[in-house]
Amino acid sequence: MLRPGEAVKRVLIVEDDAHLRRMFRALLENEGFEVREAEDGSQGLALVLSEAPDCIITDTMMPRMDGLAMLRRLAAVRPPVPSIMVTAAFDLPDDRQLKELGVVKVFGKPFAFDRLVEAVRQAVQGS
Amino acid sequence: MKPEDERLFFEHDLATPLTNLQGAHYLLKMAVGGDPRSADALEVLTHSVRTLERMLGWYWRTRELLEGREADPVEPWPASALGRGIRERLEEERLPVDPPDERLGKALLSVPQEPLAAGLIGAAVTLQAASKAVPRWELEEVPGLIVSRYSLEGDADLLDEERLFRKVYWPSARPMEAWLDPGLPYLEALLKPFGGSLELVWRSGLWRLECFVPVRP
Repeated sequence: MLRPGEAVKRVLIVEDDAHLRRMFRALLENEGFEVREAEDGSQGLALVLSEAPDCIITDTMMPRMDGLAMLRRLAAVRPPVPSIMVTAAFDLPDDRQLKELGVVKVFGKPFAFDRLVEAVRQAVQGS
Repeated sequence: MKPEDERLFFEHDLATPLTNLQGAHYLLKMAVGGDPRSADALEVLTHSVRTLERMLGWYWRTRELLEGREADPVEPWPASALGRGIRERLEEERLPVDPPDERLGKALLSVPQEPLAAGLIGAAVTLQAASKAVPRWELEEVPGLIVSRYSLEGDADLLDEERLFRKVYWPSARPMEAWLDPGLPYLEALLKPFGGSLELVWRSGLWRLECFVPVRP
């Protein structure tokens, strides 16, 4: 939860599953974060550029533009945003490449939601 | 269904609804106050989500072993590291089983180390869950083999052999975070390509499960 005087941090959720987006929103708003949602990497790209979130939570496999493609496109035009990847994919780039794209943590689905909340708190601390 | 489609089903398609269940469970935990019916429902949900996740996970990993899809060649490693590794994992995870008594020598093993440790720990956890008693566990090197031996006192009804060898996952009263709780099918599938096997016997009030792990010649 936010401490008094602490600025509200904004988190962008990029995930094609509507129920999971709903879960993330409920969880993060309960923790005091402001939440924006995108259904795919293409929407996510547009929202990062227009809303400047403090943290991105992104799935990998999505229609139209996947999470990695979105992060690569972002890295080409602006400094990386601290990002948390939630994925069921089994062939991700190595840690160094992910770090260059701003990925601070990868969660394999399914995962413990309390750990995700903690990861978001840590990710927004530096932003 | 093609093998690659099956893999996608287990490793990707199932992951999101399982994640949604976990998320809903987490939110309910926060919402449930002192209402005992809600608390009961939440407990059932917790157990069921976890069991579902583990059953699917261990089923898939066992399938992969049976179809030879997980086999990468392994550099031979000392059997003495097996005992040490098992003790460390039991301590880290505070599992409801006692560490094995060890009588290991200088043998080398070719069975992949982490899966073997998980399978042997899983056998102990399975026996504990099935019998509600903690098995006595020994690791012994004999000519040509490492034998992992689990003993339980009890009558002939204590264990159901058919169920023990069929269930890919047996829920424990103390669920663990780490993936160290496969059922016996996983261990059997892991050992088979190396000529290993499992044997369960009841005699004179004692149940004994023995896992035979061939050493490198």
